[in-house]
Amino acid sequence: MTFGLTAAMASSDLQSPIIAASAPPTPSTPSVQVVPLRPSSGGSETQTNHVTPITPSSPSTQATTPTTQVTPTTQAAPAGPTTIDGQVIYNPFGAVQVEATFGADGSITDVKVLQAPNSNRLSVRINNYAVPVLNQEALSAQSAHINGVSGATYTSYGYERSLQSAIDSARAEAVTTLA
Amino acid sequence: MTRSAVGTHHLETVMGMVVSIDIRDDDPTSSAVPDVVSWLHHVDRTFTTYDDRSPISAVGRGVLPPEQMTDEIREVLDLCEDMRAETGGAFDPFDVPAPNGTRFDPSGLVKGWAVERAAAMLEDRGCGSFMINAGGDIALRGTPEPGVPWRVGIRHPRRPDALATVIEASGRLAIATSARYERGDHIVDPRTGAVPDTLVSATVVGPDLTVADSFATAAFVMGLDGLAWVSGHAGYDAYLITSDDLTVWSDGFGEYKTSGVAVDGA
Repeated sequence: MTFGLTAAMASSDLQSPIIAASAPPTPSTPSVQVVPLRPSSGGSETQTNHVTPITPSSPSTQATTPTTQVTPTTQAAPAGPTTIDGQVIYNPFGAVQVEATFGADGSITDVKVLQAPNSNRLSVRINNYAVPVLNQEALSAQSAHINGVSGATYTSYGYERSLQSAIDSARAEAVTTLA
Repeated sequence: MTRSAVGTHHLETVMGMVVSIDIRDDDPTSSAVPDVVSWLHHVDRTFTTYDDRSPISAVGRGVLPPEQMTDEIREVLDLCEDMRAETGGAFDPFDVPAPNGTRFDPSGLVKGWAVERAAAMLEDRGCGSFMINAGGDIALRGTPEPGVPWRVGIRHPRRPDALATVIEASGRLAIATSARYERGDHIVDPRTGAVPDTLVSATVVGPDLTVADSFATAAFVMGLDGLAWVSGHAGYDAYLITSDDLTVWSDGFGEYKTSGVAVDGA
């Protein structure tokens, strides 16, 4: 039996990843974590055999036409963690074998990936909380109180309009003020 | 006043980028910043592949005899060879198109190496808390304030003004990211000539920026395989963003990664 994981999701900014799950044992070396940066659109859905909506922590969101076999129960919350089986889902890299655990409120508390493309056995934890954050504009340099940014190739030409430039300006001003 | 703002902050345009030097020590040695700035310009002159007259361009053309190579050039050549071997050729500065028309471009490695050396210079001059950010490649030490970790954002792949995640670190850490954004593809798989498209960015953290920089380039080329590959090296971890917006990271990276709680209003 094969199960998979994909980021295919509906349009709402607040939606969580889709996780299909199975329940084999849970080896975990090395460990790896997976989170969708945003809900992806049509493209990956065409490669998706099944979709399991998992958005229990976002009551306002609506799942899109899932061919669901199993979904987490959010109304009658179970007393403890529940491990749920899902369906076969393929992402562009192939099938990923996973096992999802849901907390009492229906949110995903843990996802273990037991098999991933090009890897042996991986353990994955979905950071349910980070998903909506990534899709909001709150992760600006100012609100995140960061000291620097990695991942931007700040050529001297593009620097002026960069996040790092704003950070540097604020820092320079602070130093000058107190000097 | 809730935050102290001691220390020194300096911006220097060098090596075609802006280098931010943020020192938080109360009273850094007066020569600390000038010495680092002087070093970076020296590296620029020696290792620029944009100038046919630079020593490294002569190396690339094969016209600089080994006996005329400075220790710095030898060191960089050795590091290039080490990283090429360690990455199985996924990072190979000996087989890439360089601006000077040769096939040798160590610029990526030189940047990390120069910043790591600059960090050592600051330490030698009594600095214990600082962050050097050279065009997105970062070496940090200590903490920005007592008891407060450095916070470094990883750029969101499609939004220059947003972050994909934030990591927190104190002590000693290097952070390097290889990425392709809207401006086009810069990274080619030296082994195949293909342009990797599985990932949009690969971030590597670890103790040494020379290594982290090379590993980030290699991980970008390797795609998802880069995750286990990087984390198989003690002390190094990776955070990858795929073309379809999955973010994937090794357990060790999770130790640095903050959750959404740190973001205002989220």
